[in-house]
Order: sequence, then structure tokens, then C-alpha cells
Amino acid sequence: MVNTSKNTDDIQISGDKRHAFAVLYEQFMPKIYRYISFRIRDDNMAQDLTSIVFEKALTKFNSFNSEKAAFSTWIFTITRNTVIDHYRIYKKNEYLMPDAATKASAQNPSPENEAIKAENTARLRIFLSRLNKREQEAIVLKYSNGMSNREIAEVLKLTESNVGSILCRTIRKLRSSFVEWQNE
Amino acid sequence: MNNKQKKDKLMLENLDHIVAGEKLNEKSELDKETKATLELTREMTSWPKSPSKEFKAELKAKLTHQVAEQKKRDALKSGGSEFQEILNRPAWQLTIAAIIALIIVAIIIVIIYIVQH
Repeated sequence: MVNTSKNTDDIQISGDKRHAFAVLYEQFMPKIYRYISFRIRDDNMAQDLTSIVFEKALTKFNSFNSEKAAFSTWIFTITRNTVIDHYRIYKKNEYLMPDAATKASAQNPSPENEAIKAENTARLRIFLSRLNKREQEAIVLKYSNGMSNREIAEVLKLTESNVGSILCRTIRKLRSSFVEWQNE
Repeated sequence: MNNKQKKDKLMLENLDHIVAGEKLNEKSELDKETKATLELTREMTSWPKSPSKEFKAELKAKLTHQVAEQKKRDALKSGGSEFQEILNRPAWQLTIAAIIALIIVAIIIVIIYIVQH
């Protein structure tokens, strides 16, 4: 478990901002959790990291300037950095960790389809883990929250057309790795 | 727009159907391979989970508590500094000096009275 306790000495938000933060929390908390749970398969860890993200956001909220960036860009940047820090600390690739459902299916192969599905999921995770960081980010942002290419471009600081190209290329790459594996 | 660009555009449009959990349009101009490619990734839309209500409420309460604690500390700090500010005003300083002088004079008078009697 990650220690989420944090010194709150520097949380200084005016009444208006407190209200704004509460509204943004309601709107973005599920999105942030979905993003993290896509990358971190452990539920407890995903909860811990979500807590860390919002504590950081609360602490830094005074410095957030809506004229410079959209809140979604700002909070997803905090989230990405938090997940990167997590990987750095634990030095492991979470995509490779099968989740509970996959484990259960793999242990109980009686319905053949379930076993095949579990195997395919595990493979897909492996191929995803082999992509470069930018390709992984684009995929996670797209599939965890159905973000538009423009939103993804803002978070990754790329152009919209660049994001489109990355997504097309990456999805084709996943497919080709998958077909190669099936033909082995 | 060349053929590859057209293919990419079509793929991206249909990708949005996939992430929205919708079926791909049967009448779409998508070729078989692209359809299969997109369908393969449909699985990934089931990977992210939604937070439980309990966790959402718990985290909200935790953040609210942190803000309330800070608010208390701020109130204490600003309360102390307001008092300091009042004491620093010249009118208040004169008044306090006058009161202290009066007390000293009173003490001297009392001492003289005690000594004489």
C-alpha cells in the first residue's frame, strides 16, 4: 500500500475555489480512477494513487490557471506523472499483471471460450506493454475515458492529427502482433 | 486525401464507436482487416473500472477534512495577527502608555502614603 498521508500545511483555497474544486472532483474523479485502473490492475493501488492525485491537485489548485490550460489537461498531467513515479518506484510493468477476472478465467478453463478470452486479454496486455510510452499513453487515454483526439493532444502536448496517426499506427501494430502470435 | 489518409480517417471515426461501446456500422466502408483490428481492441474498453461509491465518498470526506483543518489553522493565524495589528496602531500605543504611566503614579502615591503613615 502507498502511504497517502500528506502534510496539508500549504492547502490554501478561497471559498469560491473550494466550491469549484468540489464540482471538478465530482466530474473528474471517476475519469481519473478509470485512467489509473487501466494502467494499474491492483484495485487498492489504483485507489491509493487516485487519492494521491487529488491531494496533489488540492494542494496545487491555487496555482491552476484556467486561462493557461483546461482543468482536464492539468489534472491528467498530474495523474500521468503520479503513475510514472509509481512505475519508477516499483520498477515493474503493471500491464503484465493479470487482473482478478483474468486469473479466475485462466484457472477455470472449463468453458473454452472463457479460457481463450483470458489468453487473448493476457496477450493484448503483453503487446500493449511493448509499445513505446507515447503510444501507450494515447491508447490508455482513448480507451479508459473515450477522450477525443483533441483532448488527448492537449494532455500529451501533440497536435490532433499527430494523435490520430499514433492511434491508427498503434492499433495496427497491436493487431499485427496479435496475428503473428496466433500464427506461431 | 490519399488512400492511407482516407483509411485512417475511417478508422478513427469507427474507433470512437468502439470506445463508446457501440457496434461498428455494417454499411461502413471499412475493410475486413480494419474491422478485425478495431474489434480486437474492443476488449480494452472493459479494462478500466469505475470507482466504488464508498471510495468516492471516502476520498471526498478526506479532502474536505484536510481543507477544514487548514481553514481552522488559517483562522487561528489571522486571529493572532489581527490582535497584533491593533496593538501596533499609534492611538492604542498612546492609550496603553498612558495607562501604564497612571499605574506607576498610583503605585508611587500608595508607597508615599504608606511611608508617611
